[in-house]
Amino acid sequence: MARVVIDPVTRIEGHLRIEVEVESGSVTDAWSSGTMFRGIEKILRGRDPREAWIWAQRICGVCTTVHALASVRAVEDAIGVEVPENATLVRNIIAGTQNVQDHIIHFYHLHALDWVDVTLALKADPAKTSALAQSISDWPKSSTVYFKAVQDRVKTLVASGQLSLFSSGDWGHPAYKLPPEVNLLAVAHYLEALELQREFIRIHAVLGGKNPHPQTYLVGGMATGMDGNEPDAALNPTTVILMQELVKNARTFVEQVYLPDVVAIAGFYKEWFEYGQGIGNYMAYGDYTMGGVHDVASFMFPRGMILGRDLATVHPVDPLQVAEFVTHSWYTYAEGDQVSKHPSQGETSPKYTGPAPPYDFLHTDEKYSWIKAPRYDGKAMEVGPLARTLIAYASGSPQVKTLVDGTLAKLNLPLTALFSTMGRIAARALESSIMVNELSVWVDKLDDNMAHGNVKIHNGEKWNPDSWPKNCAGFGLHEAPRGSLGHWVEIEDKKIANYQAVVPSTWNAGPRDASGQRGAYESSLQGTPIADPSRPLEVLRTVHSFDPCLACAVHVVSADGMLYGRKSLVI
Amino acid sequence: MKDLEGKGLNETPTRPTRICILGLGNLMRTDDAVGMLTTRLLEADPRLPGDVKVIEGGTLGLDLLGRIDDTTHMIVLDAVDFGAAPGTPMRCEGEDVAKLPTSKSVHLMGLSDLMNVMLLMGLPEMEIVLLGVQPDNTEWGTVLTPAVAAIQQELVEATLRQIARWKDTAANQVALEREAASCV
Repeated sequence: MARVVIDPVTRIEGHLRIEVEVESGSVTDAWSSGTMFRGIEKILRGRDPREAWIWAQRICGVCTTVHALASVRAVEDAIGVEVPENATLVRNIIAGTQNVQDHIIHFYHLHALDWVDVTLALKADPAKTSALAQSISDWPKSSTVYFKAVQDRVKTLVASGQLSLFSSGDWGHPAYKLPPEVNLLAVAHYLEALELQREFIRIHAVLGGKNPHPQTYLVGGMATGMDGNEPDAALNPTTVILMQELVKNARTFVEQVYLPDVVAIAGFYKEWFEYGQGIGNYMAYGDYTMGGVHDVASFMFPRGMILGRDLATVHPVDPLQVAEFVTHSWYTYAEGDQVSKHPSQGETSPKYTGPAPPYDFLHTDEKYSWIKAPRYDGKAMEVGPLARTLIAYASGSPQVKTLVDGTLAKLNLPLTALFSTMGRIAARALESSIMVNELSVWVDKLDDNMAHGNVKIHNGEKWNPDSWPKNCAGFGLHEAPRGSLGHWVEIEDKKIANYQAVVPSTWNAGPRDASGQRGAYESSLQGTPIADPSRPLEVLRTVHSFDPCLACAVHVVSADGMLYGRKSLVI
Repeated sequence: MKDLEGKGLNETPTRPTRICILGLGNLMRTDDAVGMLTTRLLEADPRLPGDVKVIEGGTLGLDLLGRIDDTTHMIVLDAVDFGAAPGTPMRCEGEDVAKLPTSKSVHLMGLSDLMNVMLLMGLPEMEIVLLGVQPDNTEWGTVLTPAVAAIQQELVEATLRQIARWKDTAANQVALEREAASCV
């Protein structure tokens, strides 16, 4: 038995370490460890709750905006203020844009190189790539001349003696199975996606002043200027047209490039619809409505839970049933480390007991992560696009059912194939297609409201802290690109007394709990085949399929601590 | 052979000169901030031509793509660890920037990547000059060490000289083109 360590895992945001035990060519056990302390909760204590979102947003610059949204919602819930429809629309458009952009970046720039061998793209016949591209999509950039030009540019880069952003791939690894022409297609689209994503995110600059970290949130609504007759207002007929154009371009890209690419690549990796199954429990708080945050029935992503892969029943979700363990996390609770605590009573008392660096292995039978272990009613959950898609499917969403069934039919796969590494990738693409369509509905609605003189975007009723109860508490939920996000806030004498964030990657990347139940990454790695322990590409495939948001270099050590190899970052 | 407008078919149209200054570095990492802080000195300097764009790039990498892709000439200011005495300035240009070993600067990974991504995307090439300084300390801190602070004004002067050279070349180019056009 050998223990393989990947630390840090690259092409992600933040610091993640994975240790796996390998026997007879497959993973027998796994441990996921967040190796960086966040601590934003401690920074927030004693501050004005109305500015919490500015600080909380800085938890992450990749999942930008999501923490701002969860934070304003938590404070609004605590002080009891409803936001105007225009604010809901602007928040939906900012969050929805983030969702689609994040999914596109994840597939092409963070995950594709686990499946696509760039060096093989150089061996492709551009004419064959062109024929393939034209057979799967109407996307206009599909000529032989175009693919030849892309191939020549990649050749120039390789001839210069460096692979630059392609330097961290496991080129030549036997687990790469795409024919050369598919590799060239994917490399061309990798570059096109770079262009698309930076254009598309201009919506954040329009509505939020900048990207990353939009600046126009406000407890009680938004600070985005809205006036049909005012050319300097952030929202006016010209910026509406710009947003409609950006959404239209993104929709064309998702439908003609992203979705066909996922199906084309997945077709060569059908065994990955079996690997990476994971816990089998899926949860979503649900989100995106034209109504209020409590109007759960109108959520575009329904709230619910699937247990044990049983799609016949969608179980209800009550946020009160969320609780976090620190049994295997570098924290301590006043009541002892065997209990779990609801985030509203949450405690952030760091206590590092791990080995002194540099070290070979973590003490995985003790505490081994800076991530806590959240559970729902004691059960471990997977969150994210796959969870949302399964819950929407099982809830009877006709749109999701049509998309899922159509995609699986193209691949000739059963519904159960979704419980897998490739299922996560497919769900993310399908979700992007649903979201990008909804975005244009929201922009149109905003335009319509403006045309009818409805420009109210902030509710100032509770802006004055004197209008708040002396003690109050609340929570804000959001379905972020990576899954269910919750912020909990407790306010005393107009100041933040306690603040807790339970983020999607806490659910997915968390360690074991008091009873030894594995987190979602740990569970999904069981049985993963490993062709070569010195190059554990297969482990990365499954870990990356969750879109970890926890940066950059992979070194792998064998059981005796020998350094096998070291690589540097991609993006 | 000429096209309908009388232009040579093989002539590539000359892009108007667009110069930008890009400061890189983390403002909270002592000498790593030298590039960023120098852009601020330049912005406040009345000698800086009004058509030169100044960008505080911070620690952004590929996110800068949208800000620089219309640039024809770029000066990058950054801390570069090349093993010299603290405060020693250095200059590196053209393809050598993309070839710099990635470990030489905290940000060059991002910068060389940026250059290579522009190549891969088929974007027009730009002239690029990196003006760097050997840092003394890149730990947490917001005040430059004396040796690095002392070289800042020299960086400002070198940047202004480079801009003047590019502008002279561009003006000569325009004059030559006018002359050529009048001959036709």
